[in-house]
Amino acid sequence: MSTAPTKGSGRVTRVPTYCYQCVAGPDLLTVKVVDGVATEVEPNFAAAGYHPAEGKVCVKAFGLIQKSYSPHRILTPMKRTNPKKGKDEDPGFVPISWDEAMGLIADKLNTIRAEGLVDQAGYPKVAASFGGAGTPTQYMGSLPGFLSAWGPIDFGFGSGQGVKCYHSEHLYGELWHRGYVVTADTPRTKYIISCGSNIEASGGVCGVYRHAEARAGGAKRVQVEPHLSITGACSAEWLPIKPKTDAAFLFSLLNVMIHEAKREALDLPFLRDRTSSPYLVGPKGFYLRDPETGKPLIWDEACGKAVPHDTVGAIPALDGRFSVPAAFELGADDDRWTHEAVTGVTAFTLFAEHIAQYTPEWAADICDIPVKRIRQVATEYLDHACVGQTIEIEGKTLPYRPVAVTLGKTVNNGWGGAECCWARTMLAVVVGALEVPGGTIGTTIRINRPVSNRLESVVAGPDGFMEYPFNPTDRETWQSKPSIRNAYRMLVPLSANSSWSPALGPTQFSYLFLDEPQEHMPRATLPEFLLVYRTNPVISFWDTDRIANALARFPFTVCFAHTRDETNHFADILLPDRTDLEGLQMIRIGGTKFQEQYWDCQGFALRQPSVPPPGETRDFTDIATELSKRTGLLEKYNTAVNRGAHGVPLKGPTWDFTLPVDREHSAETIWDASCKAASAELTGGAETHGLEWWKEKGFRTVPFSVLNWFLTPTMVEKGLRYELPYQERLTRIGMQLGNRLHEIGITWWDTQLHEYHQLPEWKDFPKYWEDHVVECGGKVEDFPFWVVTTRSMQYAWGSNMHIPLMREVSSHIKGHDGVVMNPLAAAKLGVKEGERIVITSPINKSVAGRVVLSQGIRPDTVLMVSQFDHWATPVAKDFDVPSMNKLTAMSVSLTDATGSGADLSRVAIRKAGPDEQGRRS
Amino acid sequence: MTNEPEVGMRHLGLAPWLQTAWDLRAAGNFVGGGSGTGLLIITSLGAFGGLYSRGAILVGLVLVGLGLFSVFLEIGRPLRAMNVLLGGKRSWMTREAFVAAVLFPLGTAALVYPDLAKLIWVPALAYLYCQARILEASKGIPTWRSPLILPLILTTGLAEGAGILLVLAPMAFDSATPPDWAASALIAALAARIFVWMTYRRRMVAGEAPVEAAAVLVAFSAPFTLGGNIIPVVMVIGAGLEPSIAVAALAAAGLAAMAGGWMLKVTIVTKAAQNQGFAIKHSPARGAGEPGPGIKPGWTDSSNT
Amino acid sequence: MTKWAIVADLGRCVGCQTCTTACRHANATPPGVQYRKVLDMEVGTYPDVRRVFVPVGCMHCDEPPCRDVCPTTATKKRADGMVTIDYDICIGCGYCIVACPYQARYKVSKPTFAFKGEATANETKRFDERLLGVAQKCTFCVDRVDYGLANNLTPGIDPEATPACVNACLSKALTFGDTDNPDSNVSTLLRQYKSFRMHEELGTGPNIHYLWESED
Repeated sequence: MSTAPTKGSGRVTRVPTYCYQCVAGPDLLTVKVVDGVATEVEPNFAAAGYHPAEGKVCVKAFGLIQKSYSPHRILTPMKRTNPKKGKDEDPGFVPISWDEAMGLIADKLNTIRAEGLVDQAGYPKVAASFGGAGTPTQYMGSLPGFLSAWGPIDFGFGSGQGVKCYHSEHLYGELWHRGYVVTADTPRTKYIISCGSNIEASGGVCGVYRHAEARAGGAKRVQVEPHLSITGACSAEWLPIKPKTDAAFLFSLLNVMIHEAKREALDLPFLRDRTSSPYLVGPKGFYLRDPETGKPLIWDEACGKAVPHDTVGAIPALDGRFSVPAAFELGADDDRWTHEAVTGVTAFTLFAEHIAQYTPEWAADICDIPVKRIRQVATEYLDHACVGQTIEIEGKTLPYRPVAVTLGKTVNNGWGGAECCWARTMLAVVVGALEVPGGTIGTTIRINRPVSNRLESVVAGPDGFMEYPFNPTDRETWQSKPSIRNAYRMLVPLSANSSWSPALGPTQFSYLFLDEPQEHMPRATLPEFLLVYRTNPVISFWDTDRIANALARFPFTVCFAHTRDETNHFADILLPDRTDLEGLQMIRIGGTKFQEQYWDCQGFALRQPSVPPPGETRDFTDIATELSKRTGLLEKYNTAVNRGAHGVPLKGPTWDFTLPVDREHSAETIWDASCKAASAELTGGAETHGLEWWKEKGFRTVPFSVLNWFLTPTMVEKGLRYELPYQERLTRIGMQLGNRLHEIGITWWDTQLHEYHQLPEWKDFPKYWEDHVVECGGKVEDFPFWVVTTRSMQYAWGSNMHIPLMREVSSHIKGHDGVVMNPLAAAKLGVKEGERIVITSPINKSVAGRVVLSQGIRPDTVLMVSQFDHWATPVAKDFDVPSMNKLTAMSVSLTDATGSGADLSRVAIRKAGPDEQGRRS
Repeated sequence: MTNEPEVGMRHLGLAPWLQTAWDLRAAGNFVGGGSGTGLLIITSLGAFGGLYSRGAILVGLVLVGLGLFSVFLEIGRPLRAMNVLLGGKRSWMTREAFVAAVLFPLGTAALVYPDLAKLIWVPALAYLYCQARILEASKGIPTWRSPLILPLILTTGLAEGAGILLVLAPMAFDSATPPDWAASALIAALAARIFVWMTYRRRMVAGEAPVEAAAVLVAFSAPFTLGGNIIPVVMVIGAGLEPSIAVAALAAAGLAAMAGGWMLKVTIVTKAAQNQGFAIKHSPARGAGEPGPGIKPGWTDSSNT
Repeated sequence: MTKWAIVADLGRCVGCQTCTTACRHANATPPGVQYRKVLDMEVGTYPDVRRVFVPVGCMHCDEPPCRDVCPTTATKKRADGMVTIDYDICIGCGYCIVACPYQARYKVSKPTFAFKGEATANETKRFDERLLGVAQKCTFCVDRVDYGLANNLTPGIDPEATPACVNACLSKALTFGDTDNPDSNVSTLLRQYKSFRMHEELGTGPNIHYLWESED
């Protein structure tokens, strides 16, 4: 009798490897291989005791087998034969040999090297566009070694960075508490206010697991969002807020806590000792400083006078106005005001007075949330904060504040994002829940250094705060001419200048400025050489027609291509790499990392070939080595690899597995050395396991203390304060930036300069988008709806739209087949479920799709899940589902001071006519 | 006969959707089997009154046979068709096959030995009963699992059988007219069928069937009531009042009664055959949140409380 | 006695469909044939709306209507509660499909593949001709459970002996175990939480239990 489908007979092996298709990974998995054919993906059960989610594997990883075996794969290098580039032009790709492909690429690069790496405008001639949040790095083998050896490259051609990420949080989070991505300490949290965060869809395995555990433990989460997302579904309550009004909601919560709750309900010692709350502010809005030391003053209640903030034994006054006999204020550039008998107000008092205007009654109308619910949330948050309580972790007693606030992307990005980040962080600050168990904590750092340990990045800076590597704004060192086309160092001091910073600037400007040059800035030029990997900006960015139009003009584009897609449609050369189940690479695992990866161990995992490589595909490391050789960079490249550009330094205090720099090394050789170095790094040189050992074991970790998850103990240890609530330093920087820009005549960034404010204030943020309608020549009343988007767990970050399995299973989740709309709105438009509508944005772009009715969305908002609308990617091009990316505008006026824009737009909607029933309008 | 999944979007949803496992081929079995056995029962019972028509018996058997052939076309593994005999312990489909194994030899024999005609009603009725039970055991289809499906299938089978007898009369009987009682039998069967139908429809609409299935039944009700039941009765009465048109009127009445029954079964098997759908009794508490009501999409009482 | 069952915690499930994909892998089912899947249900009217994710599949009923109607005895119920199909006996009459009130059964008549026309290497490797034209459904990964029992493993605890969907579940919403054993994982959950079963009123005795609220 046969009762189970066949499992496939033959020689069975289980290959341990990892999936890092998305930023929420890596997920450790095993691939079941039968007679050399991958048949099943399973969790790596051996990782259960190490991985924070018992070694479970995300739904996306199950698509890897179809990904490997897709008949649509590009299996040989290809060359474009049609010199004309355009959406409607057939590229005429023909197969070529690797030798020819590498020859063509090397010729181009060698010409550039010979003529100069930057063009006349000062921009790098070589540009690279890689997919979101560093995922491509975990598949590109040793290519970082080549990139490092090359020299200046414009990494600012984004594919959604700045608009599809947690942008404001990245910058402000790192500034305030080394939190590039900010989460709840979920397993210990009892109350979460989640403004638009869709952790159940974008938090990966660990996000899903941790929040499920928290729910089982009785935690309460309130979801504040215009539509009932997956996370809303999994929350105790849903508050359908008006789009882009989250800052008002969060401000009003602060108002209740500061002005309605008992003061003792707040964590007063935390405010006093760990924040800038007691710093005295002078009449010009800057800190009153000690004439002798220049340090900000506090009012010492012990001796009844103003003293420098770090005076030993002082008891700082939190609240009040105090007379200071002598002090000075330090403004922007050369501004300095000396005072005698001046009144100093504590930053906390200014904060409390500032927040007094934002009552729940005020916020209710703006947010469309009942006053009662606002008060209830504020009260419940305070009730759950456990102010004064402690918890023991690994033998150490820490504060226990099980409340947190998390922010989603559109809340985080664009206008209003900075205010939300500030309010969210202040909500943690007022109850002492910042960077302590149960509270609001950061995952990792990408701007500060060392990237491997965020606690070590806590270095004393000015005024008792942490150091932060702002891009300079002083006259001498401000970068008046951009180094890359998106001008991040020039315009965005907060973006700093780490390897991630080019993608943390206004990446949309890289494309926008090509066609809309800005006054008093070198005109953006087309890069002579563009390298693209694991990204599809023609689909994933905004105003996607504009991106396509730009790429059509790029003279030479090389795409690593898995299948044809909308971006490599414009390529000159396609290169097939050995991908997820075929390539060789190591990844660092463990520690703490976005999205919600909190491990109690850290180490490395190996990605190894599970199946034989198909066709002419090549391992990325071999490609990088050959590229280096053909461009005369082999020595520099090998040196970079030895240094660890590919992820593992080959030399340590007591070990040296460095490779000779004067010759080529195979991928196996490089990764064998890397495996040995990784083993040694983990064990202080005790272990030196090579590639074969790692192939068998898959991963290796060493303990990582949970105490490392929390920054506050380090702040205490180093006697530092969080730079909250008062933004004195940022205000000064903003003023200086304004001075610099005005000195060279730039006034088009003036609106952005208003974001630099001591105490962030509510502006009518939704109106920025209404004003944009007018700017585009439209009338606001003609665009009565908001369109928003939401992540799909089956697709988020995955570059996996061409995998039929993902399409199949995602169809169970509402919204994957059309535009989600409230029945009330549909009735007004006279459309029914399944009928087609046409959605038009102020930039006069339209998409059409089927109506999906849902009670779980505001009647003034429609939702387009994920990012569809493909026209070249196999499988996906037959979906017939619209994307909002075509509709959303790239514009300076919708870009905030951090360089980000929010993922939403005002739109007009009408029923599609009989002639508009096809794929697109 | 398929339940081929739809790949792609707009997946088979939450609310009951039309089953696709049994299509017209399966309906054909209920049509042929019901009409055939109905005719055999009437003919067999008529034998006690002296009726004997090889034609009627032959047509009855052919109808049942065509029904079985029709369903044979729908099975996925026709070469294993004989496995259908293995499930006698529980399955009415197997029992139907068993009965067929009696009905066909007996019916064939009755073509040669007229006396045997009096016995045919036994396996014919059993066969018809099996068919009714086949539908009734289909727990997944609310319009089939109703206990009222039993009398409905039985009465329509008899009505169809009586109707066919009237249709066959000009050809099958020497007199060209059916026996006197045949028209009465038709009226009686129609009266029973329409009564059961009304009750069945009312209960389905009242909440025993999904909204969509009930709507199909409601839409079907008027043409069926009128065309399949009232008009035949009127024709029979007309035939009694006006003997000159009696032959034609009775044949027409029979035809309408038969056609009504066929449409009834095609409708129930292939159109008003929405499945159960999915339902939950409660919405869960999410973390410290409160639980909420359940839902039963596609049903009148969708709250499922 | 043993009675295998799945407990699905609706408070935990996030509808990610990882179980759906894991099942598709484990059983090599063709496109669209999902022995396990998770529904996305909406309850209420704006703004008082809830969204519930509901894992469904064969309920391995105590009184399986599919078994009762099967004319070939291909569908059987084992002593441990599992409802099985013998693909070599089934004639593909589809009767079980209409008998199942959980829409859990499928019948595929022709080979179908992810990329339409041609089978990929894994699809070729795992193509099982026996499943064409016959009924198929969730097996509770009977092969894994039996392998586990034969090797002193505990189904529901040891992954090698546990259904693939349960192994894959990210939120620990799915638990597999023996409800006849009062000390089992599932029995413990059923004591700790309030639960219901789908369409229980039909008398099928389904063996997927849905948890919806903590008992305390």
